[in-house]
Amino acid sequence: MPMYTVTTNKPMAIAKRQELARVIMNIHCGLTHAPQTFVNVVYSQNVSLRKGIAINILGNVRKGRTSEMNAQLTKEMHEGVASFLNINRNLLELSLFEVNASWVMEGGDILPEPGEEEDCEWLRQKH
Amino acid sequence: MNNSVRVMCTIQENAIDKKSIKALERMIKRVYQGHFGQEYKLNCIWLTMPFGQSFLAAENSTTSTVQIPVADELAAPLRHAFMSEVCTQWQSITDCNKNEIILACPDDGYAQRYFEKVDERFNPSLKHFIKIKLLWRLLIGKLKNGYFTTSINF
Repeated sequence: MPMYTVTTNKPMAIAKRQELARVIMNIHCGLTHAPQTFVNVVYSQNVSLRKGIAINILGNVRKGRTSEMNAQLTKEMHEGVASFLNINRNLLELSLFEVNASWVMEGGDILPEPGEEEDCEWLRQKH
Repeated sequence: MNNSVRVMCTIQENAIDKKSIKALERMIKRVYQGHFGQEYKLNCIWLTMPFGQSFLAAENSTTSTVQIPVADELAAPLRHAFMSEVCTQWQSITDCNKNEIILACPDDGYAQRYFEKVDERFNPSLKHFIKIKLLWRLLIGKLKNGYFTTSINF
């Protein structure tokens, strides 16, 4: 976590997918200070999205941040992704969906709450 | 929570062989019923992801993602005991390391809302067609492989 699911109505080149994954990671980590090794980005392609939408991003993020922080994250992600893809912002749909950290296991450990990453054994071993 | 549990497993294409997927499906059902009761009926769906569509820290990832809803407000010790057993057995069956499995066990109510949110992506006028197409592909996957499976792509 986070897990960003990027859904597109057309295929995207693999190099661009990777670059976009990096853009998403940098924005997420830049704002939340979450470890980069937390950030998952997956792609689903050739999906008939809502009319006028070219790309949909659904971010599953850990619950526990302020609503202001999530609003800022949504805003920066929206602007950053649209800018990277060089598309009109209206073509991009983006929303966050919060999940309790204690409901998710990664690296064999229950995820720490936002801001408590230093206590995570799995992360300490990775770095 | 009704007794029907929708389990979503997103795995890398060709990363886990058919025999292991069937063993994983049996394991998930056995462990779930062992922890929470025989009355639960689990329906596993296996979404396969082609190489280059999954990234962790902006690098290609081979991680599988599994979502298994549990009863709303299930106590953490019960939830975590179940999660630990699934993760351990998943690693044993697939021979993957612990970093290659992400397991989410949300409340059932949360999972329902999440699926609704995922559905909101679709063009409303094509939503029924998309769902029928998805169901058809899952059935074909079941006939070919013995378990419900299709690509994450449409």
